Amino acid sequence: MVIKKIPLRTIKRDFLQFFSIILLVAIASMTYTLFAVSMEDIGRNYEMFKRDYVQEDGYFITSKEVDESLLKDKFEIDLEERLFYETQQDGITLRIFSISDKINKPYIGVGKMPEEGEVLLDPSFFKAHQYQTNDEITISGQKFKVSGIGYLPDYIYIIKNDQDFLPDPEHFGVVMMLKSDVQKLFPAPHVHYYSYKGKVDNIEDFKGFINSNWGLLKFVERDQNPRIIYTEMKVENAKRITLPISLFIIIVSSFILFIVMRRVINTMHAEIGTLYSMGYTQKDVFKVFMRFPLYIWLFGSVIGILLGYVEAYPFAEFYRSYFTLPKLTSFFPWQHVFVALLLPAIFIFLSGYFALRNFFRLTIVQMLHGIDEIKFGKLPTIKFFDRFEFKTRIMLKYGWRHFARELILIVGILFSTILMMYGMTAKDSIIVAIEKAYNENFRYNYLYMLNSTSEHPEINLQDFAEPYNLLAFDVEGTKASIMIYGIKSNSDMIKLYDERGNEISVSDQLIISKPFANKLGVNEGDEIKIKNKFTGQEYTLKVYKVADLPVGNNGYMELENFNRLFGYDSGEYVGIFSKEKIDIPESSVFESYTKSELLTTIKASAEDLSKTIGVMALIAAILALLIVYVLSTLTINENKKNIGILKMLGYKENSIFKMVLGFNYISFLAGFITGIPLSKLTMDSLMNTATKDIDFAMSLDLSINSVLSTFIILLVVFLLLRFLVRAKIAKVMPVEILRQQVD
Amino acid sequence: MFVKAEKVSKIYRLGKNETRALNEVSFELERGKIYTVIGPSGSGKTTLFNILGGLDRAEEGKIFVDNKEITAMDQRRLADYRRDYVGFVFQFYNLINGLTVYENVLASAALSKNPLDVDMVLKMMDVYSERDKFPFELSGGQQQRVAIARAVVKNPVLILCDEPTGALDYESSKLVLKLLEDVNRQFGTTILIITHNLAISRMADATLRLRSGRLVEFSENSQKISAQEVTW
Ligand SMILES: Nc1ncnc2c1ncn2[C@@H]1O[C@H](COP(=O)(O)OP(=O)(O)OP(=O)(O)O)[C@@H](O)[C@H]1O
Ligand SMILES: [Mg+2]
Repeated sequence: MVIKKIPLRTIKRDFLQFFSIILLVAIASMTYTLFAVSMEDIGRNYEMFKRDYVQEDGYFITSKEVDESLLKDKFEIDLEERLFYETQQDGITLRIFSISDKINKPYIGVGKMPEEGEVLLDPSFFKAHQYQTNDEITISGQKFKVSGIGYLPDYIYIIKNDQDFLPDPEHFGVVMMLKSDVQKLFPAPHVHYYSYKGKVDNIEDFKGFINSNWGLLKFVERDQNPRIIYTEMKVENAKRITLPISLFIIIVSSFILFIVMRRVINTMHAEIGTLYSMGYTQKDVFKVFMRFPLYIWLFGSVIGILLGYVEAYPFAEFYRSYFTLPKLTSFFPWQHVFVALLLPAIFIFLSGYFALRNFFRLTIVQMLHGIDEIKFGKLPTIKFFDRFEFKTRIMLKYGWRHFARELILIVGILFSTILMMYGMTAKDSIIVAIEKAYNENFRYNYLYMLNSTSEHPEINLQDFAEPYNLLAFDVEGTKASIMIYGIKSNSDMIKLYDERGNEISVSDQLIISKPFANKLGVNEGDEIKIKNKFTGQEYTLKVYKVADLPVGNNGYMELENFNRLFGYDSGEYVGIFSKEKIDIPESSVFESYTKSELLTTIKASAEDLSKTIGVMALIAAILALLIVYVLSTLTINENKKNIGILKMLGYKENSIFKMVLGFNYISFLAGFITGIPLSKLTMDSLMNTATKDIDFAMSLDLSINSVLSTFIILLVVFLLLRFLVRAKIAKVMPVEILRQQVD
Repeated sequence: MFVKAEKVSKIYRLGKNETRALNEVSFELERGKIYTVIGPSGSGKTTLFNILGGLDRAEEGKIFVDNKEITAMDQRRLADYRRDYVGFVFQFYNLINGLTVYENVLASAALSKNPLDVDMVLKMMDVYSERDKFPFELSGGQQQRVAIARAVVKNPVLILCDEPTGALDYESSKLVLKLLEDVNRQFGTTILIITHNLAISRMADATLRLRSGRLVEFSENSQKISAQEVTW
């Protein structure tokens, strides 16, 4: 059938318009494919890694050596001691682990299993310091050969301290070596580190038993281990946004397609009527015109899937290196390619179908004569508009007449705003907010965690240091845990402020951080039930105040009150905040870190993050651009005759622009303004669902900066388009009036 | 009789108002002749064209074409009727913009059981040299000749023209009329031309005059002249 050629020719003639829709579909398919395939890739590899290399179910540290077989038999678990030690040299901290046989076995990414005198390095550290296999590395004055890269199942997010947010391979690395080598380097360990595998029915009994027999210093379940769950959470988050984003883009493009299709059909009304008069049936015409959605779908999704697929592997690689996940297997993601093809098809064909169905209701005679556009959807006229000055009135009328179009514009801008805000906020919240917290709230420069809670007579505390006490609790009925600090009243190290910026002083009552309050859904005055992680003792505490801290599941009380409440003697403490470095006997220190270390880490990681943000902002900007472009071009094409008449009457381009497309400004603003609170809402709900089952809390706050940057980017896009569209108006000649009358 | 209309009425109802666009119109047309339909604006000419062509339905009355009652046909059979029996020529050409001249004609030929050769018809209409152009690249007269080619190529028994020269200048109009006459002579096609131009009636075998939806006159033309001789 020769009439099959009509759609492709029409697409060619109106190329930019259709191409924009194709691009929209392509972006949707691409987003879906990119995220789905890379996440699937990461997910599958991670599951395999977890299983085959036996990720622990938890680990604990004791002061005395544990009777392994006793513990194994009593709690029916598998247990393995891991020798570990930390050294510092040239500002670099190396955490050395012995290679285990049963739990947390290393996966060798490059090179081979170390023999005596050889070590494996974690991939990020290996890369950051540009090691090669067989290079030498000096640890505690002794030379080792780097035999390769090792991935540990319990170190998929390599942070030095549990509280850290971002990895810092420049200054921290994990080293794996033979047990015998660790023993040679550090013959007398003063704590013992065990990983266990297996489900423990009563975790409290388990902890209690360990504590009473061997002195429990630390106990971390898998689901509370930031080195595991941060990565799991990020992957989960990315998975969660994939479908909504792609779906949204597809729906928007389908709506635009519907509008464009309707216009194409309207301008071709006489031609379609003629086809009927020639003896073509409705079925023939339908088959021909459904080729519009067919081509748009084919080009769009195929391009999108290809782009997404090609991008997915580097993207997965990027994610993998960020989280230090290994690649164990490759696969072809049939189901995602299928979905990426099918999903747009449904919406695109539906919109094509509906555009045609409306038209097919007309009789052949009506098609031949052409039916005024207004008759398709009669709108009530609005008297209210008549109050305004002529140009404004015309503008409002245009907006009202193209109501659906303006709505799509609003939704499109709204969506772009959310997407962009999402990217900006991710950066803001994690980097700016943490920096802010460490400048305003946490004013210490050094933090020491000691081996035991006591009066520590061996340490002489000077003015620039303050003691603190600390206990970890599980919150009843949730997977969340809280770290409650006992700090000095009027502390110079920890400053807490309420929402309005007033300082809160610590007392005998509990103050908790805002993200944690949000996560638990509690307000000031509510009670929370908590349970000591080590002893299992329960407490019910009233939340006195909520402090405006950007991160952390922290609580604060006055130190002496803390000691009294939780059964410590007056004057006992477990750690020190200090402005200056202090000398503490090495055997007393459990962990220590400096604030500057942490801040460098944050800055270093900012670059990685801004990559993702750039991509998001770019996609958002392109989306906004395409949507506004298609819609304004459409309006101009449709109104060529009116524009011609206005020009003939002597109106200038600027005024014509204002009249015909001025409403777009209002829609643009409306989209942007509703987008801001909506992005806050969607982000909060995203964060809450993502972190519901894990021990993590962070609040995402929109900063003025990100709101402004988003606005400026979108405005630039918008103005750029105005410029392009204005050129189109300039091209319309008054002679159009005559031309339009002929057809 | 080739075409037979019996008391055909077309009624438009808008609320309580009733417009009889055609009011009990009856006539008979013979095969192979040329007819013109004249009458003032709004008299029902286009309405008659639509109903004869199976594009629209009459409320009352019957029409037989080649002994088939088209007023009794359902949509599918009407489409068949249009395809097998009728060729249309419109005032504003209605060519398909997305198709070339050749393809426009081919789109019509493809539906026919015994089509004429496309190139032959293009040559006959003197648009063969434009065969690969798109409609917007042609003048009005050329477009109308392509439209006639499109109607003719199906080899229909009836060609209906609604003001085929309405948008054309004198020279182009005369060429179009001559070509319609050629078609009639060569293929014996019955041709019905709606026109405002009384002069055109002189090349017809008979003229139907409509007024307010009624057929007020059916006059045979005893002094038929050739299209060439028609002037105005
Ligand atoms: N869709 C419609 N709804 C209501 N009335 C209609 C419709 N189409 C035509 N009419 C009316 O039917 C009558 C005949 O119209 P028709 O188009 O047949 O006239 P015409 O003789 O072709 O006129 P012209 O020479 O101007 O083309 C007119 O009064 C017209 O207003
Ligand atoms: Mg008419």
